[in-house]
Amino acid sequence: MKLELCKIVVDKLEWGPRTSVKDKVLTINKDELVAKILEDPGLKGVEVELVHPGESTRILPVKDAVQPRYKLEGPGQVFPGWIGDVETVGSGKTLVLDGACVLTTGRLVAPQEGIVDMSGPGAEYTPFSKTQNIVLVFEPVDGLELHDLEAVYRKAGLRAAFYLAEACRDCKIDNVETYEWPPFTDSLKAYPNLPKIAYVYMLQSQGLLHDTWVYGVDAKRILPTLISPTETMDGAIISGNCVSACDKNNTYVHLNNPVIKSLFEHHGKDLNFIGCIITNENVTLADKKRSSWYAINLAKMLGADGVVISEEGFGNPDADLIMNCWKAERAGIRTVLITDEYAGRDGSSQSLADSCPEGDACVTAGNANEIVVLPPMKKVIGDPSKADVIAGGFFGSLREDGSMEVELQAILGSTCELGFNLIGARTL
Amino acid sequence: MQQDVPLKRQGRDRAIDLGRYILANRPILISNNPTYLDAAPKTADLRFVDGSALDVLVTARDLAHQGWCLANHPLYGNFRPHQQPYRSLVMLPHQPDNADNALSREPCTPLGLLEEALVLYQSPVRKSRPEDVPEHMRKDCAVIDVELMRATLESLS
Repeated sequence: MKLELCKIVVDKLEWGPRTSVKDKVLTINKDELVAKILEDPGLKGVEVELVHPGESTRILPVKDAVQPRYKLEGPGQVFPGWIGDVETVGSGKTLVLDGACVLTTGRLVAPQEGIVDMSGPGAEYTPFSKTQNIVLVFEPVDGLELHDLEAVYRKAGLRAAFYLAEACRDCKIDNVETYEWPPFTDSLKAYPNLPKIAYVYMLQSQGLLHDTWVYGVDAKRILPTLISPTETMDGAIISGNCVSACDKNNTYVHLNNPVIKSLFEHHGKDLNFIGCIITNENVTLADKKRSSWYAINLAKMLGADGVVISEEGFGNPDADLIMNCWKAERAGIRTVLITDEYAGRDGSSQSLADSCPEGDACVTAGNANEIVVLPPMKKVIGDPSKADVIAGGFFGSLREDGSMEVELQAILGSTCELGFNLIGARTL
Repeated sequence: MQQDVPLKRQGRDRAIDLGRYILANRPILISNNPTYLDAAPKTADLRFVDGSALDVLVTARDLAHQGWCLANHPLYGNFRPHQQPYRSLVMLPHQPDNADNALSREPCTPLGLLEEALVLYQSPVRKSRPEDVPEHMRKDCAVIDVELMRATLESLS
């Protein structure tokens, strides 16, 4: 499978008569965009705001972030199962509005979602302070059942992102990134002197507000399976995970998974990237056992020498992480784990709920309990009172002057366990 | 629309002696979420705990010592103990091939998970009893608890 990501750089947003990109400025026809979003009968209104890095703006509560993409050449279309049909994606050419991001906000239930500050100290923790954001504030029709409401918001974000990219399909492309994923008969024989490495990609799948979707299928209902990494770049995996803003993997992050990108970069140099295994993080112990055995058995069948395992979220998913690690190591497959920590505000508490001695190579994305004071912003999009109930915020965290004292957990993407965050070290 | 969630139901003590459950050989739903008082699951018998989330865990731990098997993980995903005053756990009737034999094949044992969860629940940053949470928050927490138990309860049928 060969996928070309045809990128159009966007570093500014503005309203205008025709949706298009010129000289890195994404001009958006607001009426068209709103009309597309309101095609869903579950919405009676939507406010759309354009927000840029450096502005004194706070956005909350954010549900999902979506990068605008559109398939110039198929098969299939982006976000299969939602926008596109369920045909397998990951080949052909995909247009990317690089630098633009659709952020969705709207109330579901209280303890959820996250904060994006576009300037100030909070901006240093969220990668979405660096993107040009098209922010959607939804007004749903009355009486929608909670599951339906969540689906309405989720699909509206995808629809908006798709509209923006599709409208720019004839615009000038700035650069092309190419990814190739060969058949296993070729990849397993390639680079015989390099270690064969697979990626175990854990997806949050606990229930309402904690879900992930694969080709439109609820991830809690899948057995672990193999997926081409290029499929993820076309939106085969999308987020319905609205809880714990710091370490949920929103759709933007699934599209731009840094673990996959890094494995591609190292492929053929110091490792042979042979497979991507998606697995879930269900609530029952039987599911956890079943999925971990199955995922690691897939790695065994590939003949992997090592696996990189990334977690999503925390709490009971720590058990999935440890089961995957323990079973892989016992199968003779070395592991590297990627997680984040809840080590208390002074960093002295136990970081993970579970552990095992075999988990001796672990990358952390940061301590989600770290306290941050966010100063008041001139403009707030959404509802600041939600800071009291956002996971990581606490009662009284919103001060009279508009400033907020929150844990990093409240800030979108601050401790992303795929490494799509701003804190940490980089190898130069 | 969501229904109001009362803190507790006075005079409606749902605690039933364990012997009945053992004889019935049915799963038990242990919960402090009053939503289940009005909508008890069909796949399990309800044991309502008029107390905190910690009390739910202690009740489950005691049953585990008596041979019952934990069906769902005692910690939520993406919520810390102080962020969710409700907790619901399903215990399965003891099956000889279920718990003990699993010890050598799994890194996480049900009893070990419960004990680890108890440590976390006993050292909260803030209190996590339902009465400590404002009503608007309490209603939402009850809804989420029910939603996050859905897969476990459906797995019993």
